[in-house]
Amino acid sequence: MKKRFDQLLAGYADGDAISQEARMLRDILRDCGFESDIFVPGDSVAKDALVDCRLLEEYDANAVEGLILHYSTESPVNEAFVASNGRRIVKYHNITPAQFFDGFDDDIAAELRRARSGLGAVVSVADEVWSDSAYNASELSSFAIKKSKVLHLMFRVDEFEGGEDAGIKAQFGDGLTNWLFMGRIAPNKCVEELILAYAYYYHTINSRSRLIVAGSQHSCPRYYAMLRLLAERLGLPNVCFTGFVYGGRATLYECADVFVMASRHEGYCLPLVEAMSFDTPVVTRRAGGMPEAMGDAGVMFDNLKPEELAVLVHRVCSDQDLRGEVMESQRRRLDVIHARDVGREVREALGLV
Amino acid sequence: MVGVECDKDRPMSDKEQSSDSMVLMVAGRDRSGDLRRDVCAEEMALVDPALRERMADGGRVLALRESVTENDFIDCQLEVLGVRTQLDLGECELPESSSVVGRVVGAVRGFVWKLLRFAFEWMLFHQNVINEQQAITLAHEVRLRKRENEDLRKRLDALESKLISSLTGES
Repeated sequence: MKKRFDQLLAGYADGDAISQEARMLRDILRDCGFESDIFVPGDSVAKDALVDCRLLEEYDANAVEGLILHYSTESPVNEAFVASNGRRIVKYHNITPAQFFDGFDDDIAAELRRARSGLGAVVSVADEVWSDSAYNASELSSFAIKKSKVLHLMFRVDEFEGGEDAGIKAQFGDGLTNWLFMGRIAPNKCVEELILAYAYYYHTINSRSRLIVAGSQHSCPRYYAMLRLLAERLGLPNVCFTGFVYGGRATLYECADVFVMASRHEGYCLPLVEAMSFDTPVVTRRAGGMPEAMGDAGVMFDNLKPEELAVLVHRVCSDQDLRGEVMESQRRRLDVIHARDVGREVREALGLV
Repeated sequence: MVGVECDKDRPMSDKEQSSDSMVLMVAGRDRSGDLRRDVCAEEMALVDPALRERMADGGRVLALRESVTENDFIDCQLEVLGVRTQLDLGECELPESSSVVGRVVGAVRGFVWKLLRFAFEWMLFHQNVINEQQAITLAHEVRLRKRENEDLRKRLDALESKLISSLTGES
């Protein structure tokens, strides 16, 4: 009988970076000869996603040889991990600092605070901790960890590919200069800073343009309300909130002249790599784990005023020399990413090589 | 279109000095020095009084970020909503173009705009009344709920202290 090596996830969804990594890890574990499944609490997974994962109620804590917990928030899976036997590994994806949500959503803020205070208990029983980035690993330095390793976020570049979405192409492929933001609409993403910068760009530099904000607005409705109000007060009819886009992401990136990210807290930030893989120049804040995702590619900024960010993005869109330099650096970065042997990295981390 | 000639050898102004902590990395190289000077110079050309006024209006919305609790947020949101409930047709700018076709299209747009303005004014009147009524009703509702909560809290505190004193009296 095959030995089991399972994974526990707080939630599962298409287009979610952690879910994608769990799927990839499961396939690698199965290739290594383990029986492997992903277990998720029933209220945190869509019914149609249950082909890829199983309900937490079906998880048997005594049957596992090994277990990986993806830690990012408070969840019943954290308790299941503590109660399990076998080799226990935490994959730390970081916890958004609660203060970003204060005022916008007190429940989420409290949940994030509990997740941070519960981290010690989970890490203390773990045999190993793997972090998405050195930035994430640095957050754990205050804990006594038996074995720590940086294993950058895993993803399949072929999952970024997708067919053309005619609706999105018709909506955004009309020749206007498109700024694109992709990600959850949550306060740590600082979308308001993009809107402020875009206000200068639209009113002073180029009114034949739009800012596309692609991401779920359900994460924090009050924050979303603030963004809509801000765009209205700044007289920006061309700030387009598309909601969550999964199938048409490829077309969105292709329509974009520049990908902009002003987030102040990210464990890694997969959309940056996605944008690079669609040959879209990236302008991003140098914060959190994002420099590790970018390597020596794209444009990274910090401490820019909105009007300065507007000019910088304008430069990237219009200065062909600068744009060429940025694109070349991104292609070099993609070569490095494509050359990554994730299967080998995982086998080495598990001591199977 | 913004674009000012930059003398790369000139000393930095106070404003540029103030953004000393600005970081700019392009393709892995630190361009905080040369590119920063260009970006600052161009940014200084973006002075537009009407835009500054708009940005100040945006700043009032951003005060929502300072909310510590959801109650603070609702108070602040009501304040922001109450500042302006009226739509203004004067803010609607017709796009202009310098080309011949663009000028013709612009003239047609202008004519249609004048032709339909009475209908827009009529809709605007109704919409503005609805906006105003909703903002007032919402503010009133929030005030009522707060008062109700405070009353309930007082009654609960009184009952608790009564219960504690009766329990300690028994013991």
